[in-house]
Amino acid sequence: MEPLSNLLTGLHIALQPLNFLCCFIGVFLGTLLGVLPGIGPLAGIALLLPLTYGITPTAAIILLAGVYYGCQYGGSTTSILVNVPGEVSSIVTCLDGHQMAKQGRAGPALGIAAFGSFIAGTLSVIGLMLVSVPIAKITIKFGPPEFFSVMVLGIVMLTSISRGSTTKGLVMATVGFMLSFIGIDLVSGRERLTFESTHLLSGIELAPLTIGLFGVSEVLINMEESVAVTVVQLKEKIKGYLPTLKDWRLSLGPILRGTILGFITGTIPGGGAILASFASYAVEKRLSKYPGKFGTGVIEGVAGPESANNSATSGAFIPLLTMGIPSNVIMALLLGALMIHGVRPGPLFLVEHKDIFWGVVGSMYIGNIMLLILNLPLIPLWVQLLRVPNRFLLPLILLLCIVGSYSVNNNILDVLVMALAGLAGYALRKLDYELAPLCLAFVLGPIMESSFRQSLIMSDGSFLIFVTRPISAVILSLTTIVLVLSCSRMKISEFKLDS
Amino acid sequence: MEINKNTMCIIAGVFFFIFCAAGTLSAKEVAFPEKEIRFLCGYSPGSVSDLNARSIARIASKYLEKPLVVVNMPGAGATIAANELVRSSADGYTIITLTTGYFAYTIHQQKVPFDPSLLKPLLGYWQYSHVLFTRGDSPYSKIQDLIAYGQKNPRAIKYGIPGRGTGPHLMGILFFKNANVEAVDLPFKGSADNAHGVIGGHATVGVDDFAPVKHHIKAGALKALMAFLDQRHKDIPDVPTSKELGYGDLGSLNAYGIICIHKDTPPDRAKKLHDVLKKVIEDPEFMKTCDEFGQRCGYIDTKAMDENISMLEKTNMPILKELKLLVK
Repeated sequence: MEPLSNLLTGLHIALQPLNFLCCFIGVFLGTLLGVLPGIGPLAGIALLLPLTYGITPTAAIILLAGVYYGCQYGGSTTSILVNVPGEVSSIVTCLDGHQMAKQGRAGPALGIAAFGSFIAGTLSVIGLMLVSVPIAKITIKFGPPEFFSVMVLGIVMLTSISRGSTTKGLVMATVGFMLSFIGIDLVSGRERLTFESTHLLSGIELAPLTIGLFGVSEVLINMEESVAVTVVQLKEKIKGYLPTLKDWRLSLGPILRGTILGFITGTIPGGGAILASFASYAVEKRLSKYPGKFGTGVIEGVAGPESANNSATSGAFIPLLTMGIPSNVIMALLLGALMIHGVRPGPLFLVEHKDIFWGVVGSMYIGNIMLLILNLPLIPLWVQLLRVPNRFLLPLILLLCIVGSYSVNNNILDVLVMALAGLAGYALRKLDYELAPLCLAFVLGPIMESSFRQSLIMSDGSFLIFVTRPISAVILSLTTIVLVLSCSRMKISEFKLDS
Repeated sequence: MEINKNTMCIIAGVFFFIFCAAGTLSAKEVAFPEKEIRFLCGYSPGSVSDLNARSIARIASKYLEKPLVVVNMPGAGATIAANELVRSSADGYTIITLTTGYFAYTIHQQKVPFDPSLLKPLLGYWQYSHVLFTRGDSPYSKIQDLIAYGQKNPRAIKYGIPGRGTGPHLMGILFFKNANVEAVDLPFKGSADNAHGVIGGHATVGVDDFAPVKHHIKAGALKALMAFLDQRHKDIPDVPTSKELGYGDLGSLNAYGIICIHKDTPPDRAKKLHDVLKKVIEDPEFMKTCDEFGQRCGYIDTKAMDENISMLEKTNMPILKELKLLVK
C-alpha cells in the first residue's frame, strides 16, 4: 500500500502547474528531437540545462526526463516513413516499419509504435516504482565479466537479425567490430587505427555513422528513380490510420515481452535503448511462427522494439535514482543537473528527497499520456508526408541528416563521416548486405572487448572468471542454449529440405 | 537671419554625425562583450569539468552583460575543443575550460594538431582533490591494512581508474610505488563506471577526484581510505591525508581546472575577461555550489598555474614513458 500512497503524492506533485507545464514542454520537445535524425535527447538536455537554473529541482528533472523518454516516441516516425532512424534505438524499426509503410500501412505502424510505447512506458514506470531497490542491488553485482557475457548473448542474437544470408550478416558484424576499434583503447591507453588524426582519437561517432548508413543511403537509392515519384511506392491506397484488431492481437505479446526485456536491459549500465530494441527484435523473430517474414513488414517487428526502447528509458533511471550511478551519458547529465540544484541522488535519495523521486515517477505517468495524445492525432499528418514528391522530400531528409550529424559534437568532421558512411551504405545495400548487424556490432564491440580485458585483469589472466561468477555463468549458459537451439533449428530445416 | 531649409538640413546632419561619433567613441570602451561568449568545454556533459564550467557560466550572468554559453565539444581528451579555440579568431569571444593536466600530460600522449603555445591560461578556478576509496563494506578500514595486504600479496590489489594516462592513474602509480606495493590498474570508462566498479567490489580500491564520488561516500556505498592532499578535506575530516601518512609530495600533484584564451586576444579584452571571471570565482554563490559538489574552488593566478604545470610534467613524464603512452 505504501507505493500507492507515495504514487498519489507523486501525482499530486506532478499535477502542480509548474511541474505539469515542464512535463508538457519536455515531452513535446523530446518528441520533436526524436523525430529529427541525429539530434537526440543529449543535445536537447544539454541545451535546456541552463534554462532550468531558475526553477525547482523537481520541475527541472521532470522537464529533462520528459525530453529523454519523449525522444523514444518520436524516433520511430522517420524510421517508418522514410527508412531513416530518428534515434539510434529506432534502427530496428526501419526494418519492418518502412516495409509496412510501403504496403500502405504506415498508419498502423505508427499507431502500434505509439501505443506500444505508451503501454511500455506506463508499465515500466510501475516497475520503477515497485522494484527499483531490489533491481539496483542486482545491477551493482554486474561487473566486467557479466557485461562480457551479456555482450556475447547480444552477438548470438545479432545473427538472428539478418534476414538474408547469415554469412553476409557476420561479415557486416565483423566490419562493425573493426570500425569500433578505431580510437584510443580503454585498457592500454594507446591509439589504434587513428592514422594520427585527432578526430579519430575518440573513434567514429555512432550517430553520424547510422545517419549516413541508413539515411543518406536511402536518399541515394531513391534518387535512382525519377524524382517526380513519391518516396513510397503506394501500390495500394493508404489502408487506414490505426492498427486493426488483428494487429493488436499480434502485437500484444511483443509489446509485453519488449517491455520486460527493455526494462532489464535499461538498468544495465552501458546497455540502454539500442540494445533493448535489437534484443526485442531478435526475441520476437525467434518466437515467431514465421521468422522468415521478418523484414517484409511484420507488425511484431515494430511493436516489440518500440516498446523495448521506451521501457529501457525507465529502466535507465533506476541506477541513477537509487544509487546515483548514471547508466549512460544522458543520465550523467541528469545527475549533473540534480547536483547543480543541490540534490544528490544515491541510496539516501529515496529517503531524503522522497518528493522529487515520486514527483518524477508521477510525471512519467502523465508524460506518457501526454505523449500518446500528442502523437496519435499527428499520425494522419505524418502519413500524408508520404505523398510529398521525392524532389522535395529527399533534399529535406538530407538537410536533416547533415544538421543531425553536426549537432552531435559540434564537429564538422562528423558530417564527413556521415557522407562516407552514406556512400558505403549505398554500395552495401546494392550488394544486398544488411546494415543492422554492422550497427549492433559497432555498439557492442567496444563494451565486449573492454569488459573482456578488464575481466582478465581482475582474474590475473584466468578465463575461469566468466564461469565462476554466478551471474556471468547463468548468462553464458543461456547463450549456449540459444546457440544450440538455433543451430538445431537450422539442422532440422536443412534435413527437411533434403528429405 | 532667416535660416532656410537647406541650412537646417546641414546643421541637423552635422549634429547627427557628431552624435554618432560620440556614440561610437564611448561605445568602444563598453563594447566588449557585444554578443555572447562561447565557453568551450572539451569534456562530456555531466563531467566534473563540465559542471564546474556551467556553474561559472550561470553566475557570470551577474557580472557580464552578455551570456556565457557552454558549448561541449568532447573528444581526444579535450584536444578537439582546444583546436577549435586556436582556430577561432582571437577576439575574446571564445574561451575554454581545461586543466593544468592537459598541458602537463594529455598533450604529450597524442599528436596535437595545433601549437599548444597558442593557448594562454588566464586563471584557474578549481583544483582536483584525489582520493583513494574502497567499497563501503570492505574489510579494509584503514589505509595501513590495505598497504600491508598489498605488500604481502603482489598484484592482488586492483585499483580502478577513470582512464589510462589520467591524473588519477598517475597518482595511483606514484602512491603504490612509494608504498612498495605492486598493484594493477583497472581502467574504466570515466568516473561513473569507476565508482560503479568499486561499489560492486569488482576492483579492490579506486582512485579519482573527490567530486564524482562524494555522494557515494556520504551514502556509505564507498569509503575513503586516504586523501591525496596536504590538509584534511572538510567533507571527509576523518580521512587521513597523504602528507600525514608520509607521502609528502603527492598532495601537490592535484591539477587545477583553468580557463584559457587565445594567446593573441587583445590585452584589454583579456583583462576584462580575467577580472570578470575573478569576481565570479570569488562570488559566494559559486563557492557554495562548489562546496555542494565537493570541489575545492578558488582563484588561482598565472604563477601558480605555471608552477603546477611544470611540476606535474616533471613528475609524470617518466611514468608516461614507462607506460609507453608518451608520444612527444
